[in-house]
Amino acid sequence: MIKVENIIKFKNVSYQKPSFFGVQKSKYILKNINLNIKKGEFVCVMGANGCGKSTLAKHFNGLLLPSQGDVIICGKNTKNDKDNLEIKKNVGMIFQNPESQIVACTVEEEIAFGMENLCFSREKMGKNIKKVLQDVNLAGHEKASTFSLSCGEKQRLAIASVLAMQPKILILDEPTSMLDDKSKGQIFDIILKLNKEKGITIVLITHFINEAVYSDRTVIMNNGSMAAFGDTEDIISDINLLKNNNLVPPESACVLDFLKNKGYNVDSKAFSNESCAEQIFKILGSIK
Amino acid sequence: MIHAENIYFKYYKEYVLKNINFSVKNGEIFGIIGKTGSGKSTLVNILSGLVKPDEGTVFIDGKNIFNKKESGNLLSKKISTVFQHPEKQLFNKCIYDDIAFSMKNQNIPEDIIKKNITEVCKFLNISDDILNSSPFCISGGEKRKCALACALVTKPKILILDEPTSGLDAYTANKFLNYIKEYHNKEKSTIIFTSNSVGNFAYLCDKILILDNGEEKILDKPENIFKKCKELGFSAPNIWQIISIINSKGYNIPEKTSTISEMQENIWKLIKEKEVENKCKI
Repeated sequence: MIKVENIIKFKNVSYQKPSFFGVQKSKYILKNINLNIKKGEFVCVMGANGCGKSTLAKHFNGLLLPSQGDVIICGKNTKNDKDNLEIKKNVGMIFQNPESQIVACTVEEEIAFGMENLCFSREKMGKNIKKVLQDVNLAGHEKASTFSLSCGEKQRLAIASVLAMQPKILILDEPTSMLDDKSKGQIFDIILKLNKEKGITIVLITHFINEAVYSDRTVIMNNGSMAAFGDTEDIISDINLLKNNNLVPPESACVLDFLKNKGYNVDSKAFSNESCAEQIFKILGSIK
Repeated sequence: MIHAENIYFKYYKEYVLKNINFSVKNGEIFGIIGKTGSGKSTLVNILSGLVKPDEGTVFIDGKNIFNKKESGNLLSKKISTVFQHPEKQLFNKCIYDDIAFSMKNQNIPEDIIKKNITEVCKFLNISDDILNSSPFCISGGEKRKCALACALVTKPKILILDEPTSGLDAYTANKFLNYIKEYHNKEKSTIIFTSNSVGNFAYLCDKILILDNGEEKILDKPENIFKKCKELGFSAPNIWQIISIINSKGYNIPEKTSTISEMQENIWKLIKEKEVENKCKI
């Protein structure tokens, strides 16, 4: 068996919020997180608002450093200053609110910003800009002002800017929370393509279960601790686990669980609306 | 009653809203749904009196909100808005001061302010810890809840919510939805909200306006909107989708089913009916 390298390792990571002008008492936002993510994996982090998902995300590229424990990315500790650039090069981040990461005045300049800092050649920059803009359906907007973009367009631009730097790991902190259904689908097509075809390791932070289904493994967080980590299918079909951690199970899973409790033999992993309806038809068809 | 008449609005030379007309009766819940960039937030800014349209106007109970004599009283006392990014409306040293801000401006006595805040925090489940926190130190979902608290504390007659559940997890979004439902039942106020998807909020609406590229595409009841979701480029709520697949095979689950427990109950009823039907045949 080929041993796949753990590209991301969290060892007993805890994070304590610094006090804020004496107003905020310092408290632990992350408590003893142990996490190993393999190269090329697609991992989803789920949890209710305020459980520490975004704080966890900021640990992946050293934006926040753990108060206790270590974060090792591609074999390098985020606490080592000299490895800082290497880690930031390897880990691309997309935040919840695109406005917090857009700095330039035009779309083209925004995408070039990261690449300029990584000393990409002019030709490569031009090529990348065209390609990533096509990937996120913003082709033709090169010269547009970033201020004139709508919220969804800004999010797509943020994704394009990170993709242009060709990172090994992509951390997406609720990237679709401000997008409409059509754009959500487009973004997911891109994320899946990057993961499956280019082998980029993806860590997706989301509260949408219909987005988590694309991932290989899922982490459930509750109040700063890891409540569960396992295969996505197993986690999503465990309605009690989801409910106990303030997550809402998919409607289809609730119906299937209800039927299972009534004594019917149903496939509790049939999450899609179509396959859930199929299970109901099967029950109706079997009635004699 | 809110009446938007013939609204046009442009940024630079491009029209982002074109000929918008609608009326919302007192106590109604009105949804404005459109894709990103369709002009929803601009319309919200106009309805809350923050931006004056290039053409047309908005009337509240027959009074023009852009008429300088009326606007102060109308806007500050009747309308509360929760914006898409709650962090933009929280600016005080601590959340308590933020929630108290509008009441202090209306010269409401300190003891009533305190009572109202306790009441709204109990309603929205905001802890004392959060009340004493700086807006910079709380999570996105908590910020949204606090922004809602700022809006609800004055018991507005009209509540405008710009994408109220974006960025919230489904559990908090459902809770948020219940708060709004409860508030609506209690105060009978008019609620206008925007969303970029036809989600669970749509079930609450009396009417939904679909905005497309700044233009009114459809203004209809939620059930009729759900049927047209596919052609409009939206996904209908999951419960509605499952029910419509089942009904497409000749079954008859009520289309008004909007909660999981209702759906479970209806599917159970369907199974039992089928059992009785088959027994009768034998």
